Amino acid sequence: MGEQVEVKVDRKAGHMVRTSTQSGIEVKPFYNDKDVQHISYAEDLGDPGSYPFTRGLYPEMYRDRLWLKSFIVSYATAEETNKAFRQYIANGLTDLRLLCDLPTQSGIDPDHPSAWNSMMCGGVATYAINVYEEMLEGLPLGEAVFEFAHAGMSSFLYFYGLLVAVMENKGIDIKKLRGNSINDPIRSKLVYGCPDFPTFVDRRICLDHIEYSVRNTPNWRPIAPNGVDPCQAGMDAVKELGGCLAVATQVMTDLAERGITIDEFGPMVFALDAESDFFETIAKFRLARKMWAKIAKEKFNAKTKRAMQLKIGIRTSGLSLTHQKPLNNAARVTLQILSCVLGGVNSLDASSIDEAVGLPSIEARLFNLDTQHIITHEANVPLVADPLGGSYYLEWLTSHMETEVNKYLQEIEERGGVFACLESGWLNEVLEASRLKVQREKAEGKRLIVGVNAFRQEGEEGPVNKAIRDVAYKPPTVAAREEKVAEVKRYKAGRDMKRLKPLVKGLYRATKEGRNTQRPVIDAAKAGMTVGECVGVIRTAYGIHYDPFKEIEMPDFVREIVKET
Amino acid sequence: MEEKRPIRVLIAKVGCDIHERGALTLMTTLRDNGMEVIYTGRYQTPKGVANAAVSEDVDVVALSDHTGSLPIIAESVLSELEKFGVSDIKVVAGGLLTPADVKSLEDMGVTGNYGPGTPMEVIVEHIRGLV
Amino acid sequence: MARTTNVDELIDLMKNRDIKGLARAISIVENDGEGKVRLLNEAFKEASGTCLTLGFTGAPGVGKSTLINSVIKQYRQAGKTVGVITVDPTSPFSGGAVLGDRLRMKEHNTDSDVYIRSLASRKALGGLSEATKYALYLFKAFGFDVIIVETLGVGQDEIDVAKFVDVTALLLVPGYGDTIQMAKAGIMEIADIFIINKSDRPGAELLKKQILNILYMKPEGERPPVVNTSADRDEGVEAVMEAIELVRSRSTIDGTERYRRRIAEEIRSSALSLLKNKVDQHLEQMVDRVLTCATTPIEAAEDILRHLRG
Repeated sequence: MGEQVEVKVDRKAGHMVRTSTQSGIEVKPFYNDKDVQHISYAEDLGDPGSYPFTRGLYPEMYRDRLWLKSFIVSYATAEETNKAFRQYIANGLTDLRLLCDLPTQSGIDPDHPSAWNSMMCGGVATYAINVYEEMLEGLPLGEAVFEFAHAGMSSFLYFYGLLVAVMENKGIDIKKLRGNSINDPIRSKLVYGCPDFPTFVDRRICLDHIEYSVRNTPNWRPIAPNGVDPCQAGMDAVKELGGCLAVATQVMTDLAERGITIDEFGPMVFALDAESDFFETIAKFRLARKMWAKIAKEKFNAKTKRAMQLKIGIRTSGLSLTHQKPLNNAARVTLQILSCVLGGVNSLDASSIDEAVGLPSIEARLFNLDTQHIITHEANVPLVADPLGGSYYLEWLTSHMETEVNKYLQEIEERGGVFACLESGWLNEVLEASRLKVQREKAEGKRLIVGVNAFRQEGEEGPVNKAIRDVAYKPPTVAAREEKVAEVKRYKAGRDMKRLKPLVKGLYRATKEGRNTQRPVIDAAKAGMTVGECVGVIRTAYGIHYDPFKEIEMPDFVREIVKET
Repeated sequence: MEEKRPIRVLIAKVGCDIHERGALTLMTTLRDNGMEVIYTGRYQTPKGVANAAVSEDVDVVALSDHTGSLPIIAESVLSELEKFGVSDIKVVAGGLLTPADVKSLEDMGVTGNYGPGTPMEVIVEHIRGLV
Repeated sequence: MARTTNVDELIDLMKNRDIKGLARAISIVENDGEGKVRLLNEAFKEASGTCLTLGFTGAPGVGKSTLINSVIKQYRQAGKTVGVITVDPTSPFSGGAVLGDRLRMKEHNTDSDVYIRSLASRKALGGLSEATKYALYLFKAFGFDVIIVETLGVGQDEIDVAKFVDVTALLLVPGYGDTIQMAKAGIMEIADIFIINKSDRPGAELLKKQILNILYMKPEGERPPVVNTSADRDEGVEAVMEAIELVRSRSTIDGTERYRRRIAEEIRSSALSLLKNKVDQHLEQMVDRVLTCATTPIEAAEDILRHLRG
């Protein structure tokens, strides 16, 4: 690498380079009772377990139940992933994040020409039910908690379908299914530009999944508006939270049209980002619970306590991790985990210290779990609920952010709601402006990243940093990819088409006739319908090209279905 | 002899990698440093990237990827460029890279090979140096 | 193989329909490189007289690229080869540019019968309309059946581009409230077709009425068609194709006169552009003289012209 630019900071007498939080909220040197005079304990905070749940969802908080510890488990093969799941569970992991590789997340099969370059990257190439069966073999399906954090909206429909199909095939009551789907149509387009479906199809699929789940798998949270990925893409904390609230509000409104009330729906889940700014992150979590409780009660007339409760699932910031001096990432992740515990979150997926180097190694993941055990059992942080509650600074910050989030929500509403804001490109502009602001601050030295634009290492890298680089997980080879393509082709050729075709036809007709698509997806998945076929058939029913990439034509049996219908 | 013009760069993402922030950040940085930048967007094929690079008569193709597949991607893009009979378009890469990846990329003639968090000035200077 | 800058080789490459030749030739012409004039002369002689040139113009965000993407698809299905010129603004601060329109036409990226080239507006070098005009020569010489030019539709340059194409379509979207501004900018006058994109949005009908009101004064046989589309849903593209054919069938009536006018416009704009460059060479010196009270701006202008004649 060439000459690197470094911001000069006096290492001995150094001072803070900024006077505002990471999101640009200007703060004073100190806060006192005058700054929190407007805050009412009963109305704005409440005891843990009481409305508006600012201080936490449960009176006993972590004494009663610790946060769920989860990872996105993303190894290349079903076998490796299954092995890793078992190892993690043995080390205290309680929540399984089932991710798949990037092509299947985008709605295409491994034998699609565009799959090649990212095949088996980011997870297993989960093209059909056989892969799920292998990946989940021997795992406690009725007891585990699953999370879906895929990119495309087709993923939630299809992979939830696979999970239900596997459980039903094993004779397990699907009512026992626990966990959540991100299923956030705004995030899929705004952040990932997912090609699987156009937005208007995304929006319908989202509701189909929720509706089916509410009525058949009551312990599954079928939507978790996602702030993590918008935030990683550039949104600040205010817009991250505002975006989640806007999506949740829109979806609850849409569900009402399908006759589902908020009380029937139950608790909401948000997937939020634990960023590097310690207090801002804690304030954001507390505020998220409070604002959703108020919206649920005041806007949707929630009657039950459950329906006013927001569960927070966390992913710690991957973007904050650096390629330079990767050991430093241990400090970053530890602080981020601490902010989650102090903020009273419900589940936590922490990034690994080697994530900026490669896909996380198993060792780095286990270090992560241990960090959480140390915070719990050695540092005793979770002993008391909301231990920072009442802090002048934190309470002021929480209250100030509420005003800012409300302004943002107001603007979205004035622009016709969150979908109109997506389709007009306004959300993109907001994201871009926010991202550029950060980029500028870094260039101007107003945002220091240790080891990157300040406090850089002189000379050779030490052995620990080197070792972190070396253990990072290596992506699959060309030979492994070739074998995968051959495997998929064999699988497709070996299916009982007499059984499969009418079930796929069922999905085609349900899509066309506006009926819920979730059950037909489950049934067809049992007979071997692949993710690419699922996406293609739904697209075809809408009269758009079978292939999101427009590179391949529909298979013959789908062509026959279209002709026959 | 050569006409004077801004440096033209094609920023490309091949395959289904969804991480776009690095590419976008590079895009605006290069523009702000007086370059003409063409961004292909996500979900590209190697052939499409090579075709765009030749059509747009760019000086540099910058590949961005966060799946750990940069060597595979670079190899196929280089081979597609070769099919067009073009060898003077420089290819640079950035994203998730292991030391082994960097080595194999360098062997192919792909330069830069920057990890996340690399200061933008470094990349700008590298591209200027190439052209 | 390194890409050549030799004019003869480039001409040969173009005759062999090798896009490397066209791509490099455009760079040379765009940047006033060596051999520009010869390239353009050769291109003019080679130019296909039967190709159809289309202009799509409209404010940023109205969906031009997405619509063009669908139009390309229509022509490709009919077996036609398509060349596309897209223009994006150059940053006045850095001189750099983000050329982003390919992004929305990527399904044609692997089709060897579709060629897409992005130009930056780069005001310094003769302006956008000059670069586009010359790029059109090269595209015509390459022999595409259809050539599409996409411009931003915000200034005089874009209005000028309309003079160099057969059919100009103006894209509008409901709810922007920019109809009146368009009228002011003079774009309403040059449009042969009005396309209301994103017609699934509220306000589409109102916008159509507003446009029809403005067009009402034109005789029926010359009145530009108004078409509704939702390009992101692939809706209304056939209607756009029909409108293009309709306008084309009208313009063949006075085809010769139209061509004559275009050539006149091309000569005029090229001459003015040459003149401007020459004038610019004397400008600084004359400014100094005016500032030291040695002459007046009026006299300075006459001095420059005298100098050019001599």
